Amino acid sequence: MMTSVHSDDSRLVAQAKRGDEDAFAELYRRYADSIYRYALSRSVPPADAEDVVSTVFLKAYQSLPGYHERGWPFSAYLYRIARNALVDLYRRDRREILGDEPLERPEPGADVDNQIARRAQLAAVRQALAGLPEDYQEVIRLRLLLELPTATVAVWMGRKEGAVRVLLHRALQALRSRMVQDDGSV
Amino acid sequence: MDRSDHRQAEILDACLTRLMSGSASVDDLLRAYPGDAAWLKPLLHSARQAQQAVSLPAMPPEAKLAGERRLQRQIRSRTPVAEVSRGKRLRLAFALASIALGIALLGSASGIAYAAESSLPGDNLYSIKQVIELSQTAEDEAELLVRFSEERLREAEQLSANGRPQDLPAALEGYRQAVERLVGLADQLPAEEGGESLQAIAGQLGRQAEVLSRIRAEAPQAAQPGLLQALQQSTRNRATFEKMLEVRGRETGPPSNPGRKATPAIPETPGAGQGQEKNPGQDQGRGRPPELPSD
Repeated sequence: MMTSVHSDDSRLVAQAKRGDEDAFAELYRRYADSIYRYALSRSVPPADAEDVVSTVFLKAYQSLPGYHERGWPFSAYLYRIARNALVDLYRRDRREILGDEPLERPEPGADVDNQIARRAQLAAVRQALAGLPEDYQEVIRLRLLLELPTATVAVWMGRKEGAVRVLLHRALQALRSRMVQDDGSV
Repeated sequence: MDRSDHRQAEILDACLTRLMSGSASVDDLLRAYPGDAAWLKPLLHSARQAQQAVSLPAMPPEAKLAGERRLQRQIRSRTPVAEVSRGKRLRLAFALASIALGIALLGSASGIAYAAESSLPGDNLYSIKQVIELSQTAEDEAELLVRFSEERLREAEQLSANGRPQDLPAALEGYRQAVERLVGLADQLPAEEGGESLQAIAGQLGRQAEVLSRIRAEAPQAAQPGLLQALQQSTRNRATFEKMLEVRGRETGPPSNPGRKATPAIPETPGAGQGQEKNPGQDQGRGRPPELPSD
């Protein structure tokens, strides 16, 4: 999880630009997990999410000479590449964003009826999420699912922190009303 | 959005921060904001449900390590970016040398350039025209690619009008290449630079689709498959640009654009199906294997 901005990212990026592979490997170790989880949040299956991580870092490395920080942290740069890679994946593979997750095995000893009801409820939430406008989905993914701080979400999404808070507020209101609309019991 | 909405947004954000850090439960937060509990409670529950509905496990350590090794291998096996730039310079030098050679062999510069400019696929001077286009790398690349695609379409239109359907595939292939490069280029644009350009290109592709439809309506049967393919590709690419706009543009623009129309469907026979619409995503990737970009 990318909960803090590493102050020495700039130093590692500068080293990587000079051809230091270890510095770039360190950046990979820091951010691979975030990109992987972000891909999962877009309903990319785990095996494909690993490919997305590779694609993102390879593209980042190739375009490193053109990257200039200027208040745009490296993590935001990776996020931008990841989004583009996912758009590409979506375009080529016609995937549904925030679609159904694979079913998990029932927990041993647990009440099967309850588990089925629970799964149906979670599926309804996912469906409600998928029906939201893209920017609402995105702020929910970043702020709630990846649990990124508002400041980081603001940098990644290119908005002010206040605007991100307002967007999240609206997104949750919209999610709530969709869930109520879909199932009055929620 | 009024002041009270901003206040609610700030309270909600503060509560979510505490909830996610585990320092407070929903009940704790409702007690902390008794006057706001009525609106806060359902939103906090919705947030919790969203988190529970989508599980995001960490990347398996072995996959992370394997990925790191794979990345290192790829980095070592690929041409560094600096060398690519050198390659571009060499290509440009080669293009310029070819032009010079062409000029020396064939006569006056302005005459050849002029003659080449109006040449069509299948003409002797067409390769000179392509070399001249290649050498124009100093111009904005996206603008140039849009211009190339326009030029290929103009050629297709002219070939069709001149009764040369046998040369249409070359013009259509040139069109395909220009638009494919355009999509690749747009893919690299950061959001803050991309919005207006993507919008303009999507509009341009829409107009190009109209030109293709017009050519197709008058083209002989033998040219129909190539034209249909070009039209489908143009529609797919337009949908791609619209998707990119949808995904990127909202960060700097208004929250949504519900009034925007989807990319129109292509009728299987020329001139049919006017006014049809479909979801831009539905036609994407047709005929391609599901794969990730290789670079």
